[in-house]
Amino acid sequence: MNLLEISNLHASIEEDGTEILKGIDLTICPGEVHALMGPNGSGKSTLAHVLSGRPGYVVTQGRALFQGKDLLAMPAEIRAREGVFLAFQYPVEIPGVSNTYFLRTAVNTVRKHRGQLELDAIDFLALLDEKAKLVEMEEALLNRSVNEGFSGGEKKRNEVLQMAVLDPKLAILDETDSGLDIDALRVAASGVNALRDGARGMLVITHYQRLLDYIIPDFVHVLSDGRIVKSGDKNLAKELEAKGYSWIEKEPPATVSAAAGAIAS
Amino acid sequence: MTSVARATAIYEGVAALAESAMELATRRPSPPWLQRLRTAGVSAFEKLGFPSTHDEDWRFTNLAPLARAAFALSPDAVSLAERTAALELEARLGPLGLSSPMPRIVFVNGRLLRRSPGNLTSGILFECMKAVLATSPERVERALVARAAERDLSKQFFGSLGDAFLDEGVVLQVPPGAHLAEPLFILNVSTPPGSTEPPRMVHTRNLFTFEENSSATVIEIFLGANGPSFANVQTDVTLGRNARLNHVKIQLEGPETFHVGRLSVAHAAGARSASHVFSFGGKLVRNEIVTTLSGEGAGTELYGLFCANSGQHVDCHTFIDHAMPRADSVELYKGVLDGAGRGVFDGKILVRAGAVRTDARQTNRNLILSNSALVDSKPQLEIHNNDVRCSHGSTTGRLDADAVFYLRSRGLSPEAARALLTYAFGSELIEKVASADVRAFLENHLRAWLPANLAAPEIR
Repeated sequence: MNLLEISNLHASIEEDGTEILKGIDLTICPGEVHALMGPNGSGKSTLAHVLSGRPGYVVTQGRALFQGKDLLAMPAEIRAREGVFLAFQYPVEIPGVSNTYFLRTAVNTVRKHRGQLELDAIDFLALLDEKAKLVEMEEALLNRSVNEGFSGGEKKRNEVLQMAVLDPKLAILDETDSGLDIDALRVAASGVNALRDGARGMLVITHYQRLLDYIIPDFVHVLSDGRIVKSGDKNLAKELEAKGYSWIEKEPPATVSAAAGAIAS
Repeated sequence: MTSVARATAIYEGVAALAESAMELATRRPSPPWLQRLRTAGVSAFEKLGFPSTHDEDWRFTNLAPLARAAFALSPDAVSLAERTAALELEARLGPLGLSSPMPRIVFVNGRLLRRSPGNLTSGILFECMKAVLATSPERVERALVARAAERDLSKQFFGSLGDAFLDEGVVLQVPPGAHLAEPLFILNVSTPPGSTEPPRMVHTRNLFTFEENSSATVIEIFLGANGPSFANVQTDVTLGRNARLNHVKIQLEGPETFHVGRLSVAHAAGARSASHVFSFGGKLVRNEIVTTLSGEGAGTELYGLFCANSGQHVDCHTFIDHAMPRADSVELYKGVLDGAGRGVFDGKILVRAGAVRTDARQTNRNLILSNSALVDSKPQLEIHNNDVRCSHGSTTGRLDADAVFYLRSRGLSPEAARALLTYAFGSELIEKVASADVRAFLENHLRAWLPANLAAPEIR
């Protein structure tokens, strides 16, 4: 079964009705890593938000199925419990809530939903210790308030750590590379790569090709003005980097859209 | 009720209080100075009457419901029912319960239930006021008379009321250089009156004196079952040179309680105090903290967390008087208002003309959890010289929607997300308390107060 199947998805900003997504078609199978690229304002983050259930958007047409279930009908927390994870572009600081306490609460909420036993403190700390190594996360950061006073790199590593601990079936990484220097990028990317296990699907959203040097995608899609206008393999990203987004925007969308569907499914 | 009838009821309320105070005075054989103090208190509060909302200090808190209600002092003897009820409540204190090694004094409805000195070293007086007044009144005479004389009689209705009913409370005297490692614990329990008894009132008079270079922590807890009651708690503290007081007040009375408290701390040079106020219960609660930095280099930290739900009104009133140079003060008060709860923060910092190099920071932050909750915030800075560093700020808002979504995106239900964020907002003040037992106790209470249950944060 397909992990994620998005068809003809249209979504608008709730507040003013501006349409951002204008008919997205995208299918992700288990184990596949899809990169979604596109210029600023093309709708990349909006797609991530709509898939994760962030308030403030209205889906006007189309649908998204997650393991055959209607994803868009689920509240955000149910999507998370079912196995959809969003790594935030701008992780939120939560003063007063320790990273460890937050993670354990989240893990046990998800485990309970999946019919697994909740982890006690000792088992949880063992799991956390193991996963923290993946992203080279210092213990001090685990005991601090969630993201509070973290550097850009620490925040993104914390997102990858949460992903590792929550063990989602589909991970959506929203511009995980933004604001990172090359060392921080490498650490975050190697954490993500460690979580590629042949079953987990990933949607890697990025503006630049740079991240894709580290997380090698199976498929690359280009989003422009709310539609996927071109799809290909990892070489498409390199071509984009060389030619710029204007190259894509000049092509008529209808033909490329058909190609995208063919490659992605 | 018409306004005339209302005024009459309030007037009768004051007259009944005066009668009750006079009756108490005749029951207690006392030295002349003490009788004079009580009588002066009666005539002062009779003349003043209850403060009204026309009084700027009481603008946001209407005392009419208290003034109209009738309360009586408890009989001198503690009944078996009171003793049993108090023990039951005390047993619920968890880490601060009966097994705690802290030296403690327990009152039930204003009468001494038990005093256990723990391993207090000799030279430290930690005794109930009634015993001191009966056996060695000279130990408190000067301080009580001086404090009564200092009273701003135009303002202090409740202070005068405290003088008029002066009878019970705690006397603490810490000699020079003494450092008390274990906190001193004062527990005030109120139990509901029997069906034929009138609602109870308790007037508590605490007097703490710290000689130079001494230090101690005092924890006061007010605990109550359901049923109407009125507590008036007047605490005066004098800190000698370089003395240190850590004061924690936890107010957990029942939903029909009127509680008016005033903590006043006078600092000599280099003296430091910290006040932590936690208010969870009560129908109408007013906590006043007055700190006078009357010695060079003195310092104070005022922390408060107040939580109010429907049917509750909590008023936090603080005044920091920077009277001398190089003193510093830090203040952080947070309010959490749910349902139709009402909160007030009224904090004033006065920097006098000579108080150069003053460093004062005041912050009030309030969290509103419902559409009908309300908080009035009135931070004030009054500065009379240029060489100071002062700041103040007040914010009132709702939970951050981005944070709620962030937690939901990790699987937490909206209720759990809101509870966790609310807990985190309040826990900042709990973390400022030094005693781990007190922190654990407060964490439990904050969690219990939250609208949705929150799992115990075993891992920090």
